[in-house]
Amino acid sequence: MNLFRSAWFERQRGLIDYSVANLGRRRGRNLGLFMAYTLLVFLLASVVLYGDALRREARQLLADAPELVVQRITAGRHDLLPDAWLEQLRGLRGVRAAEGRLWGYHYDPAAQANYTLLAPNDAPPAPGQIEIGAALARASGVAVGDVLSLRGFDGKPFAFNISRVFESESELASADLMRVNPADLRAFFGIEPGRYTDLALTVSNPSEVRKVAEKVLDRLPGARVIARDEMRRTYEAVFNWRQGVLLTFLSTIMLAFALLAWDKASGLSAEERREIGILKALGWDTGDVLRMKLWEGALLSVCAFLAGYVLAWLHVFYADAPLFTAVLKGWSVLYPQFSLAPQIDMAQMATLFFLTVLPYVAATLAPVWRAATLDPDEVMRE
Amino acid sequence: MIELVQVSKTFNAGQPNEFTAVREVSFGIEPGRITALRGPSGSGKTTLLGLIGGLTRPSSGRVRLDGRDISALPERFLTELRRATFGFVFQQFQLIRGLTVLENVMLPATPTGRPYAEVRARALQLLADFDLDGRAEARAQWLSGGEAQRVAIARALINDPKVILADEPTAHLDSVLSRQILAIFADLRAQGRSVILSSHDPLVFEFGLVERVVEIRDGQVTS
Amino acid sequence: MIFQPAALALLLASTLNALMLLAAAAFALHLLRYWNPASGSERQIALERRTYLVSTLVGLSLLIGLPAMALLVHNADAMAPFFTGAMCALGSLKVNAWGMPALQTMLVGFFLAAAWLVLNHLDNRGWDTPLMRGKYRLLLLLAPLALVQAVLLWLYYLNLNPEVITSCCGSLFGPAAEGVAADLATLPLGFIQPVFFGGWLLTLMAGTLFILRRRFGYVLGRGFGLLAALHLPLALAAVVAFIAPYIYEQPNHHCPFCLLQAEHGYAGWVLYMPLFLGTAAGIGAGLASATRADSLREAAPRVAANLAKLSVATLGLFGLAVLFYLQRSNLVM
Repeated sequence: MNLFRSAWFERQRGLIDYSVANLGRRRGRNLGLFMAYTLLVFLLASVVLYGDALRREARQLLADAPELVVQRITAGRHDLLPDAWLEQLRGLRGVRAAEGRLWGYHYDPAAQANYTLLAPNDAPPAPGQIEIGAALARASGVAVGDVLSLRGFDGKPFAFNISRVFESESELASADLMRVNPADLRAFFGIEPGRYTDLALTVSNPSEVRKVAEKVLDRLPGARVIARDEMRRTYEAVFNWRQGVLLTFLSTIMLAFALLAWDKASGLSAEERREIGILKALGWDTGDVLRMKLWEGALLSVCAFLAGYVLAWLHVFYADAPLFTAVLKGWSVLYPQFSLAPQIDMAQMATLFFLTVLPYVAATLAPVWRAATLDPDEVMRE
Repeated sequence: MIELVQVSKTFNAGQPNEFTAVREVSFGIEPGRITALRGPSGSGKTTLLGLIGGLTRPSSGRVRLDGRDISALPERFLTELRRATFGFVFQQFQLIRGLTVLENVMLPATPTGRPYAEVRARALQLLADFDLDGRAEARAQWLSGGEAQRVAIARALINDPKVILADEPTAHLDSVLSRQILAIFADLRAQGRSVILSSHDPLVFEFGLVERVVEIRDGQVTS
Repeated sequence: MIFQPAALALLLASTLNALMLLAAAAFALHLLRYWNPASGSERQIALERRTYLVSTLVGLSLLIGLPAMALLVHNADAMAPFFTGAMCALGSLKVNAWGMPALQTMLVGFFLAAAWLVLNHLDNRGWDTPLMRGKYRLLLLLAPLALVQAVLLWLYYLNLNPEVITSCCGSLFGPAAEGVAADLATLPLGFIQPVFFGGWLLTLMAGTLFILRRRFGYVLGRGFGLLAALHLPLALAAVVAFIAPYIYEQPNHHCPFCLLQAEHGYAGWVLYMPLFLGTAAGIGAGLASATRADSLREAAPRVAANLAKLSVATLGLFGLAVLFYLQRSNLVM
C-alpha cells in the first residue's frame, strides 16, 4: 500500500494547498486570531512551565533529605537540642542512622540576602574555608580564592576563604547555601558544643516512617518531627494550588478566546460564502470543504501553539517569568535569585494541548460545519 | 441520456416564503447535442440546470443519468458522479479571486485525487487551447471579461466531462465575445460532448448552434 | 488536588467530549425517526448535512480519547507520591472508588468510538447508506457512556484525599489479597503461558487466513474479529500474570501500571499501544466483514482486509515485543 502515491494522499494534499492559500489570502482576519491564540498559549504555557519547573526544583531539593527531621520546640519556637537526644534515638527500632545537623540562617544586610550556613558531617571544609554554590558565586561575582566576610552573632566579622564553588542539580539549593567547618559554624553562631540545630533520622523502611515518628514523639515530648514526605506533599500541594488558581483565572481568557474563535468562524463574508458555493458547484463535496476548513484550523493551531510555547519557554527560562513570579513563588523576599532548569515534558505538552487547542476546535466546529454545508445552489442563482 | 421524470423543486417548504421554482417537469436530453433552455428570468431555468447537473436534489420526482436514478444518491456519490460527468460554467464566471488562473482551472480536480503533475499538465494544455497559456500565473481578478469566460470553460473541462452546463453564457459579454463563446461550444460539440445551456439572449438562438430548444415558463416546460 | 493543570485539562476534555456526544445523541434520536434517503425533502437534506457534523464529533472524540487515557494514567503516576501506600498509577487511581471505573469507561469508550468510525467509513461507501440506522443506535450507547465517564472523572478528582491510605500494587496483586487482580497474578505459569501464546498465534493465523482467502470471508472475518476482541483480556491477564514480573525481574511484582514508568523503559507504552490499536482494528475488521448490505459488496471486504492487515501487523508487533522482553529478562520463573 503505497501511501504517498494514493489518491487519498493527493486529495488531502490538494485540500491542504487550498487551506494554506486561504490562510494567506485572508491574512488580516487570520492574523488577529493568530495573535490571540498565541497569547492564550503563551499565558497558559508560562503558568504550566513555571509551576512544573518549581515543583521539580522542590522535588530535587528534597530528594536527598532525610526521612525524618527532629527539632526541639521551646515556648513554641525552634530551639537547639542537646546531644543526649541523639543517643536516645539511635537505639530506636527502625532507625537506621541518626546524626546531628549543624546549620543556621544568616541575614546579610549588605547584600539584602538570606543565607543558609551548613556544617556537613562528611567532608567538611577545613577551618577558615567556605564553600559556596555556583548560583551565589555568580550573583555575588566571587570565585575560589576570594575572601568572603560575614558578621557573626556578636557583630565581629568572620573572614572566610572561598575554597570551592559547588554545582547542584537544584539551583535553589546552591543559591543560598554555604558550607563551613563545624567548629567555625559554632563560633560564628555562638552554638555551644554538645548542641545541634536538629537531628536527621534515616529510616530503612518507608512504611515505618509514621511509626518511628510516633515513637520519637513518645520519647521526646518537647520535639517536633517533620517527615520528608509530608514536606514534599505540602510543597507540591502549594505549587499545585497556586498553579491551579492562576489557571482558573486564565480560564476567563480561555473563554474569551473561544468566543472570539467562534465569532470569526461564524462570520463568513459574502465573498467566502460565494467561494464555498463555487467549490461545491465545481465538484467538492461537503466532506472536502469540511476537511479543508479543518486543515485551516489545524495549521493555525499548530503555528499558534508552537509560537506561544516557544515564547513561554523564553519567558520562563530566560526572563524568569516576571509576570507570574509573585504568585507562583510566593510573596517572600527570602527567596534567593535562582534560574529554573528547562525541561520538555510530553505530558505537559498534552495538557497544554487540551487546554488550548481543544477549546479552539470545540468552538469552531459548528461554525465550520455550517460553512461547509452551504448549498451550491445559491451560487447558481445570482 | 439524462431524463427528468415529474421533477419538482420547492424552496422553503412549509414556510411563509415557500416558492416552487420547477413544477413537475419531465423531459429527456440526448447525448452529443446542444440543447438550450429558453425562458425569461425567473422561469426556473437556473434551477432546472442545477437539477439536470445533480447540483441539487428534486423535492419530488426522479432524475436519471444513463438510466441510473441519481436523485436519491447520498451527496458523496452524487458529487463523485457530477465531477466526472458534468462541467459547469456560471453566469458570473465565478472564479476564485486571489488564486491564479492555473489554480482556478485545477480546482475541480482536487477531490479526484489525481496526481498533481498530471492535473497541472492537463490544465496548461487546456489554457493553451484557449490561447491563455500566457496568463496562467495571473491572478483571477486581473482578467478581462472574455478571458475570464474562457478560463471558466477551461475549468469546466479539467475532469474531461461528457456534458457541459452553461448558465446564461452570454449574459455579460458583448456580441463579439458572445460569438466567440458560442464557437467554443460548437467545438466542444464536435469533440463529442453534450452542451446544455440556459439563455434568453436572442443572439444565442440566431447563431444556429442550438439543436434543440426547451421552452420554460413559470417553472414548467411549455414545449 | 483538583487544581493541577493535568487534572483541569482532563476534566475540560472529558466534559467537552460528553457535551458533544450528548448533542450528537439528541440528533441521533431525531435522525432515527425521520431518516428517509429516498426523499429529496429539505428535512432529509438537512439530516444528511448534520451527519457530517456528527461524524466529525465522533472522530474528535476518538482523537482525544487515547491521549486523555494516557494523560490520566500519567497524572495518576505523578500523583502517587502524595498518597500513602501508592507507588504507581494504580495506587492513585484506587484512592477513591471512582478512579478505576473512570479509566475503564475511557477504555470502552475508545473501542466503541473506533467501531463507530469503522461503521461510518463503510456506510459512506454505500450508495444507500445501509448502516445509517445501526450506526446511530450505537451512538445512543456512546453518548451516555461519555457522560458517565465525565461524571466519574469529576468525582475522582473532587474526592482525592491525601489522608487516605491506598493500596499499592504489591498488596493488590500479592499472595494475601483476594479479588480478580490477585487471581490473575497467581495463575499457574504452566497454564497461562501456553494459553496466551496459543491465543495470540491463533488470532494472527485467523487474521492472515482472512486476508489471504477471499472466499468464506464472512465467516473468517467475523471469527477474526471475535478472536481479536477475546485476545485483549487474555493479553492483559498475561501481562499481569507473567509478562510484568519478567520485565521487573521480580516474581512478585505484577502491576500493569508500573510498566509505564521511565525506570522500566516505558515498556508499558511499547506493549499497550500496539495492543489497543490492533484490537480496535481487529474488531473493526470483524464488523466490516459482518455487513451483508448489497451496496457494500465490494467496499466491505476491502475495508475489512485493510483493517485486518493493520490488526495482524500491530498484534504481531505486540507479541514480538513480549517475546523480546521475556528473552531479555534475567528472571526465570
